[in-house]
Amino acid sequence: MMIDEAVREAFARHADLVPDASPLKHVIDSRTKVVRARRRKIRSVAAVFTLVVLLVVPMAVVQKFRGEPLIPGTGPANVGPAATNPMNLLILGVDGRAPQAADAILMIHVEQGHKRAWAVSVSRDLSVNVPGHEIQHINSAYRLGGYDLTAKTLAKLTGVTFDAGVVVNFDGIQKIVSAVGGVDMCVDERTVSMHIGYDKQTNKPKPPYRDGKPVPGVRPAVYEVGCQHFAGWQALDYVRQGDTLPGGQQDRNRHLRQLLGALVEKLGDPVNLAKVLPLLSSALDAHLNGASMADLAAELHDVDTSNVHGLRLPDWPTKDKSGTVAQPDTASFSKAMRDDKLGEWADAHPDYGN
Amino acid sequence: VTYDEFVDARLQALLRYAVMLTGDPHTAQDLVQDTMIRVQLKWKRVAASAAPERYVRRMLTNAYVDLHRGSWLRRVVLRAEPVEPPAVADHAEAAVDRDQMWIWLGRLPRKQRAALVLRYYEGLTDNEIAEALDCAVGTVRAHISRALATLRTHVVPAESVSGGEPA
Repeated sequence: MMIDEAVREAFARHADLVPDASPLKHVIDSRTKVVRARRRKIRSVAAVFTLVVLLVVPMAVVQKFRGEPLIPGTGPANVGPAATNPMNLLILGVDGRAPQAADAILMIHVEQGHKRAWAVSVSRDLSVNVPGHEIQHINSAYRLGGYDLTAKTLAKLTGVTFDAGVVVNFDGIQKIVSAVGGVDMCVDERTVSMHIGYDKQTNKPKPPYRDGKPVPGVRPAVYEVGCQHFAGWQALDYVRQGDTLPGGQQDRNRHLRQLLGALVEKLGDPVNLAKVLPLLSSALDAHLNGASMADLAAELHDVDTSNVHGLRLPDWPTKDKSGTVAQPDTASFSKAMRDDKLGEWADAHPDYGN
Repeated sequence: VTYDEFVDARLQALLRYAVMLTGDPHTAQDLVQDTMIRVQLKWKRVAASAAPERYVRRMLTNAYVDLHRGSWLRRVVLRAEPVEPPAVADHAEAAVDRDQMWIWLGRLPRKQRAALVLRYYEGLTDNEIAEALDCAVGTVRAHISRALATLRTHVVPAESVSGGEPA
């Protein structure tokens, strides 16, 4: 008898070892419920902890020098009953290498009761009245007046005031992603890099685009559709791309939200979190309007990170396609955000979700 | 495909596959259980893949290959077997024991065993095996030919005594 026949027979002979799978199904279901509940808890703790770390640590250092207690209680749970009023936060992403314009602008609205939150991306090319600087693309507000002017500009446009905010430095995020060993992301559309490429002959790294035009003889890095593991530089390069994508900045903002989600998942592991701690100060710059960090963390600790929904601020492209402008839906959106009715608004305007 | 439909259709087959991989129903149940918990948790992603069945088979295969070597699996598997000298000296005696083959299958490196199960039990093509093992087709063939060579050296076929057939 041939050896492969003998192997085949050996497997077939042991088929009666296989138990009935139906009891296993119930075990799997009940174990999954347990894991899911635990994971949800870990993740919300992770989100809170990340926030606490981002916000509390710098303050704690300040307090230490004043001789006050380092961190009130052991965590957000001890800070007292959390207020559940709606909150608005502003997240700006800046590229540490370029002269500082805000590349990504994200408004976070946390609903009354803090069970649900909305992440609203704002097109960086939205033309708005920047106080003191007339009509500009909104991303210029950061260059002209930093976080404060950007927040003021958005407040003027939407009537929404921000309780707190943070400026995220992309270089710093790349370091964080690298420190946690990369992230798992699902690329949802083929993305061609305008920033990283390789010389076709020598295979040496070379920028694939110069002044917005492809450089001949250079093969750009391409991120194909599918779930994959990204090293820090890949993740950052992927979320930096916008101009080469069909949906432009909208797509880019969606990718950025995906990265932040993937990062929160990674930071659920305390080991990863510990690795990241030393990098935080270089990656983030918190703006708190004088609010107490601990209070803020306590307020946010009910928010389930899996219940954060993406939206984009409504806008229309300008005639020359050089940017976008506000449109009628912008006003109804702003009103909904002010009145804590984004859920109803999103149901009525499904085009702006993702 | 919903998760429940998938489980109803595929769980028994997955368990069968796991038994053939591990050679032991208890370890197989643990392996399937752990894998299916992960499948259920990330069902959206699994369902979005081109073929959920292949995706899950790959997860299960990875879980098997990654089981700690020399850990409880080894002990369980070895305990489940009759005590055996590491090398089979007496071929005549070996020929009598037809489970000699099963024992030596249990001693193969895991990727080799997985490749054998996929080809000779699941009936997959080399391309499909390569996908499940996440390696090149050439690597699959190398795994299989090495595994068969090991078996050919140590296991004397029960019926014929000729040992030199091509793989």
